[in-house]
Amino acid sequence: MVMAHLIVMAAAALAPQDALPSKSGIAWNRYRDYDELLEAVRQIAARSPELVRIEQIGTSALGRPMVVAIVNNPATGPEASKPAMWIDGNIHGNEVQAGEVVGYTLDSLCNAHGRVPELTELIDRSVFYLCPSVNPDGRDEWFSKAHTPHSNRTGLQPFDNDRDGESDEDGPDDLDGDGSIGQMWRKDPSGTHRRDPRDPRRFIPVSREPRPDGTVERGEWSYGGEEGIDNDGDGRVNEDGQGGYDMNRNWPSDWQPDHVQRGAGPWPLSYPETRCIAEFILARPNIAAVQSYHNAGGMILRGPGAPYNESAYPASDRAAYDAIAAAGAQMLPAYRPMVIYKDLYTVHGGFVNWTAEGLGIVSFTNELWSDQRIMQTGQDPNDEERARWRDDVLFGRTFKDWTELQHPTLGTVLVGGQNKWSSRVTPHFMLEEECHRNFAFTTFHASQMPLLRAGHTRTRSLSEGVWELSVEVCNDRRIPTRTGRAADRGIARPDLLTVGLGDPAGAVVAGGVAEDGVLDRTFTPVKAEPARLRVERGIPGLGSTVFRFIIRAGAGSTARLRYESQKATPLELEVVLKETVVP
Amino acid sequence: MLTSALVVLRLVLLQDAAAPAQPPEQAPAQSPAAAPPTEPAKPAAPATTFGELASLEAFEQALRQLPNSTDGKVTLSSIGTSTAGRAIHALRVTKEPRRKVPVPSVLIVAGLDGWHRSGSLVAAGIAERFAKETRAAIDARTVLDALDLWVIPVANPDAWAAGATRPQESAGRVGAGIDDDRDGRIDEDAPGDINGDGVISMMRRLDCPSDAPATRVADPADPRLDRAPEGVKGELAAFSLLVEGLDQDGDGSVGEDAVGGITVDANFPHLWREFAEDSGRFPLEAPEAKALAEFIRAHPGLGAVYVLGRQDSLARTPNHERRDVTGRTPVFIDGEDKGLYERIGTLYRESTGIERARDAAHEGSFAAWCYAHRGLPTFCSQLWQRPDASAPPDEKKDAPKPSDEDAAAWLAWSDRDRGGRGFLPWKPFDHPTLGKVEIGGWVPGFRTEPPASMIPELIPKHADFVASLADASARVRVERVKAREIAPGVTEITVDLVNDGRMPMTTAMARINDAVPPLRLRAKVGIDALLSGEIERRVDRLDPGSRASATWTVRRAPKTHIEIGVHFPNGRFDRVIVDDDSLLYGGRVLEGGWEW
Repeated sequence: MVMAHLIVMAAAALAPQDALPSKSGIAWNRYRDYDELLEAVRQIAARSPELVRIEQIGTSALGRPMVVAIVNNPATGPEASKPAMWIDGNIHGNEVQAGEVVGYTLDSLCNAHGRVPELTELIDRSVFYLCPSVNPDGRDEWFSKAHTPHSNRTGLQPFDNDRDGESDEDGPDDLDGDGSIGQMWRKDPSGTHRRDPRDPRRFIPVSREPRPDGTVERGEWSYGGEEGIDNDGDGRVNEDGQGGYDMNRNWPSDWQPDHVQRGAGPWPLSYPETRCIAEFILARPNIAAVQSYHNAGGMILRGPGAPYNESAYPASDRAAYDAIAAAGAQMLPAYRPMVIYKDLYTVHGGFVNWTAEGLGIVSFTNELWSDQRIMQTGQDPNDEERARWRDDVLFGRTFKDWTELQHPTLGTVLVGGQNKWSSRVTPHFMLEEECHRNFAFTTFHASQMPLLRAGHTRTRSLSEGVWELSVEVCNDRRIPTRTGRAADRGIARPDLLTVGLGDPAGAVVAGGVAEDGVLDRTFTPVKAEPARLRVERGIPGLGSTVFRFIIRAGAGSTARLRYESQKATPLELEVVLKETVVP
Repeated sequence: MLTSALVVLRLVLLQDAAAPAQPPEQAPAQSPAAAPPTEPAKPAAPATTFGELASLEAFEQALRQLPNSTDGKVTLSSIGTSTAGRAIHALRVTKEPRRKVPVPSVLIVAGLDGWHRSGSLVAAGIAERFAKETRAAIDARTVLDALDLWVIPVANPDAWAAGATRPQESAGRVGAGIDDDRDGRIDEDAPGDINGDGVISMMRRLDCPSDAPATRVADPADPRLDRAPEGVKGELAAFSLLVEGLDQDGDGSVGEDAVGGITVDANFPHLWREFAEDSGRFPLEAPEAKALAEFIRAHPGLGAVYVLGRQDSLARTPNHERRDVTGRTPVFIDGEDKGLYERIGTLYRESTGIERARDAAHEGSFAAWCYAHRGLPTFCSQLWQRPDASAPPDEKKDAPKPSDEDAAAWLAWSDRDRGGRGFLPWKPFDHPTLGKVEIGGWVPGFRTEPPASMIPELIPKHADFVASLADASARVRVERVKAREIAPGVTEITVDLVNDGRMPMTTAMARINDAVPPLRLRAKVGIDALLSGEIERRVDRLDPGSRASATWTVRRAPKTHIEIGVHFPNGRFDRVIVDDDSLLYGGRVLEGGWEW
């Protein structure tokens, strides 16, 4: 099999500077709504049927298909026999480039297979589950309706935000018909702002300090909130828009009710989107890595989401997290490794908190795009610099000029301002780079999933027909076969090391872990089932564990060992029971 | 015909079956056919369909007959389906289904696990009693003609059906396929009745290895009981306690991976134990738990929830000081609700006479969730209490005191009043892997299920408490509407509200978690007509005996009226009308009835 790949790769050799020819023909330099994104994913799958399978795992609140693309090379084994990585994006409907990054990742895996040795090896020993949008309704809504860069995070199951017995009855309105929800400034003789004479697009605050003559400057305008009217006649504007919950607060680990975590939903996994994904992941204990994409801020986030869960990330796990995040910081300009509760804010019931703290999977959230990319200095731009970027690089396309309207309750208002493309989303001409760098980070993370190898083996005759067998099982990657979190909380099945003997009269008399490596003379035998060892802490990342057995069997007979981890391809080896020489 | 529909069956409680040497206890064979033609104020031996029932099927058959035998006062519906596909039934008892006035609503939930089946009988018996009896037959409280009662008598029908095939500790578990001991083998080593006495009880392992040393000694006060050894007095442990069973998978452990999945009453979100083997992979994974949660969410205005099962929050007032890890949700109850629980606890003790309760885990329980996350006043009863043993023998002076006085008292009651049904004497047994053991101990269910003969007496007591609970419910109403013209064309309107019930309109917890809708007063006026006040005024709190008011100043032309909608948390909707006449006589209140 390996040879076959080498032949294919040789035939398709490309110079390093060349882009890989696209099997799908899709260019990732523009944004796609949900239907288009789904079509792209299906197109990729159709062009690589030997590698990609599409599975609908559920339907969204409004009935859209929840889709996962499964990348697996069946020629190198079934899905369940390999470590897998879950990759998703766009759980918040407005965080759209996350979908493009997932789609690009799928496309790139297909393009690379058989052409790029490093990636081919990774794909052949791994499985990828890619969910391009966790929130199809929210994504569709953002593209098709008027929104801001910050709305809608929510899914579209109706929700009574203002507790008036009605749901979604008073959201923002696109009063000027520009396809975005902008801002409103109401005419006010005692206004707090006036228009900037140098740039009338901007409103600047009037001074509250009296003039030398004692008079106080009055502005002409005061901020009137987001674009909208009082649709339900309750005297308030925009107080009950669509949805109003946050699916990234709806996962089981450390889930907290609404009064602790706004938008958490009535209970964990209460939404069809989160529920179907949870069931998919729970059915696949081979998932050993998780990557979730959001926007914005240039962050490589790991848990915990709350300070009291610090112990969920023991030192052995942090070593893997830190190494992967550090590599990401190298690959992703303006991205910083961060801890959610310390460096961002407290999150209860977040997705990666569930996968990391509840399921013991090494998990990251990337907040895509940073405004620091605007600057040559890598610093955060100030308002002036941001405005210049929008004018000179984006050619003012993210600004809608102010339109004067008569508002039913506010009177004369100006409506307009920055549109939904003005922040958070990666500018289209930088999208492909964003996608590629994050794809590279993802594949680095995936490459660190456990990879087992047999190390030293030693057999020693203890007496006639009695053998001591020592076997070192190595993990050549950074992620342990069982994270410290999984071992500490007894999550899922421990690793198993089973021994079968070729001598039908033979027996495994004792078995256990050798304390200090292959040369150590003592070990701790288990109390029962020595031929089926439960290895609760697994094999550490970039490390090994030595197991020792005392076996009663005829000389020259064989012992077949099989090391099974839910998160690694099983390791099998056969040892002949005879005296070996220690090197 | 009501009487012909009744089927008198025996509830074969395990403590009866477990002591074959003792004759099974016979419950009084009451039949409605034998009831006197006129209803007494306090029947001495109340008739009930639900005193003795042998099986889930018989119980459900009796439930299905209730609508026919109660003149339409009972409706039977299904709120969901169990893991094994059984219907989860709900009864609704309303004496006046078409009434327009608000009445208190109470939900009773029972049968969350398989060793509290008597709670199911009592719950269904309460429903039957409210539906069939006049108020005089129960007591004199006026509330009984105006009570909306919901009863979910068997919230976990699979557990009832599994019955005695499981040890008591796993009696509430549903489904299968959970690898309890995470060894890659599923349900391979269940506890079992290895000595063939019909009961899965306990084992005393006498020959303990050094890696699993003995931990207990027989209690000198009664060697059937045990306690920790007093090492400082040179006492050495003599045995360890294990569940009865074999090591079927050869892993060195006994009965560590039974058939059985999720404990339904540990599968709710409040204080959910994420990594416990029986809590479910996520909250509300069990369809039984999900069905209950959906029901509660669809009925946010329930006046109270009464749970018959493992926990107690009435014989003893729950702790109000502990908070969860976030500090924002109480572990049991919020301090501001302490008075409420104390008052209702007093009513409970008066009705039932129950003053003792056992400790029981409440993490992830239905009741804990109802209160902490849904804000509902939720009260738990263990249905009965340990009876005092009769005729205590003369105690010897200097006799050792038992280390567990409650256990000793149960044992005394078993010995003196129950013919020894509660405890199996320890008998030697040669265990295939553990060597010498003794098998015996408490009969499962003895301390949770009352004797069958007690059930007909328990039903009226708990019905009386439910009546008290309903009677004490919050009674929020519009007390008065004042209108005055402060200038031509300008009217000031004030709506006064009052709660003259004995419970708050909302618990303190509901005000924290916002799960119960607020009372809303909505003035139907255009924004131009509103001169003062908010179009929608909200009232989140009305404690017993307290008032609240809302005032608006509006432009109103003569011969026109202003309407104010009053939306109550329980779904009731009233309309207040203010017109020219209101300036003299006050506004009118039109009771709009229910919006369920």
